[in-house]
Amino acid sequence: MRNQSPGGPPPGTRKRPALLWLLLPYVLFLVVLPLVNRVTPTVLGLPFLFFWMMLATLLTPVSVWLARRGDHKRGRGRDDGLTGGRA
Amino acid sequence: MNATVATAIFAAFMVLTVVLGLLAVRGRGSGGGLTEWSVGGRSLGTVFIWVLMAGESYTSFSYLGAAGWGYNFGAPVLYVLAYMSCGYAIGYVVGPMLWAYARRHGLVGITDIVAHRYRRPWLGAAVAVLATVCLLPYIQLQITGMGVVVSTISYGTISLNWAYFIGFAVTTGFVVVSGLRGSAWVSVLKDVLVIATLGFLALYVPLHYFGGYGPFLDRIVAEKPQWLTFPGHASGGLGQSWFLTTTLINSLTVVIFPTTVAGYLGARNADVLRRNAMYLPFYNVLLFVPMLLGLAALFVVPGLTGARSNLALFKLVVDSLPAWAVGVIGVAAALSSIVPMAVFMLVIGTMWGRSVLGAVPRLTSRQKLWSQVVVVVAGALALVLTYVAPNTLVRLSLISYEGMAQLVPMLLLGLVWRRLTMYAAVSGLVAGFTLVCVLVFGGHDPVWGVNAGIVGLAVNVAVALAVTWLGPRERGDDRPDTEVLALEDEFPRAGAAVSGRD
Repeated sequence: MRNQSPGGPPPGTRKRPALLWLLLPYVLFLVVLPLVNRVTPTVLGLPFLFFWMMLATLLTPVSVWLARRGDHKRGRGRDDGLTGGRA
Repeated sequence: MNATVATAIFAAFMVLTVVLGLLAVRGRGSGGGLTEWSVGGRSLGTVFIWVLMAGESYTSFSYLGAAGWGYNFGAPVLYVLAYMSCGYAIGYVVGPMLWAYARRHGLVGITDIVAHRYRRPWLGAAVAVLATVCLLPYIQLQITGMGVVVSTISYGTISLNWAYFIGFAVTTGFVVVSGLRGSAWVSVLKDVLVIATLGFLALYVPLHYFGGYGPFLDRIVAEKPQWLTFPGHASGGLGQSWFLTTTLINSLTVVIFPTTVAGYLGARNADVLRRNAMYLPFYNVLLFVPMLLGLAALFVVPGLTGARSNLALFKLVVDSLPAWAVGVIGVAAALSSIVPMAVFMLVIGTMWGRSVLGAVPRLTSRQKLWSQVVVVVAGALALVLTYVAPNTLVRLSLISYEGMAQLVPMLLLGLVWRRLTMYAAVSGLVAGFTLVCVLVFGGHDPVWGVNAGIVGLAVNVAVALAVTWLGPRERGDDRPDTEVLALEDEFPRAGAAVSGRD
């Protein structure tokens, strides 16, 4: 086997476990689908599947926020206000 | 009378669109070169990127197809929502990675990235041709989508054929001059109108026809339960496994889709993209509106079949609203064709100007000019095909997304894994793409209840791995990994130093 790159593992994944949060939408939309593929109970009048999809849509930004928070904690992903905008 | 009001409003907004698109580059002269035109000089901030990327993903399909799918099938239409949401989430990683790579090496699109990664200009040109074949049908879809909307909201005053031409003319009118920046400016107008009109329709239609949301939803649940779960109503195999595989593959494809990448590369810095990965999914909430209105149309205008079901939403609009409101909603839908069409044409132009014509030594000094020429040619080609052979591109559109998906290993795997050889990436691409064509044109999509594209992608990856391990080694490429691969995405020291001007 030839050596892997000296850079090590793929960029962006090294020591960034918070990125696993980005898989949350896949869980919400896909993994649990057999459980939520139903009309009842209705929530706020919405058939359950449509309610669930709405919930998953609204939770997607939250999952990205959690990933981003992990990056912030590592001192990355800082606000670009510090590094200056465009010329 | 009605027709005059609605048509006048439409006409005024079309003029405003071109003016706005052109104003975007006022005072910037004709300088700046290809980077300025193709990716806005890599200078767009969070708001513009949000507006642009939301604008280009919310196409005429959202108004027509989403309502039509809701009307015909019900639940399967939710795949749009699912893959866009998942795609935005993984864009958190992919966006900054592609942005940093492109900026470091002065690249303007995926063909450019491929050519740099594998150090083969011809490969960039080949990918450009392949991607163009996949993108042209989308331009036609926007042109025809615009056509039916405009002829409907003008109460038939503007014929389909004229409406097609107007779509092409307005789009070309600004994108040739102002490129990505102009598209972003027009997107502002578009997004404001889309959000306002869909927000209004979401409230108004249930109230007008059903006396409120409660009765509307109760009636759907009571009378149309078949529409409300997978596999939906008479959807022909669009069940759970289809939804799962389609969401999976489309969410991977959307992050490398050339138009998405154009948005990524236009960002001022990587953090703009990280923030947008968080904000963009909110736009998807709007997709519920045409889906629900498609269901509402089941009760109001029953019996729409075939292509006419795509007008489910507009039948309600024309039926229930005064002419001026019909005009405004029509403008929002027309702009939902124009903005994506502009970016599709821009991307095709960029790919050819840079990677195909730009690879010819004699032409390489005028890349921006050639790109602009190709924009007009590509748009005109789609327009002419719409007139004379509409079914050609419709058939091609069947493989557009699933075909584009086959570029994922070459591009994304290639940027993180040095061992992936050019031979392997190309073999995988050819195998995957061929299989998709065979399955789709053979009428086997979905195949065994599974999206045909994901079958192609599995074969694609398997072939790529096999050829990497067993096939010929890459020789003579002695560039360091830092030159070839994406680095752990770095933060720009100063977003100011925009390198890679040409």
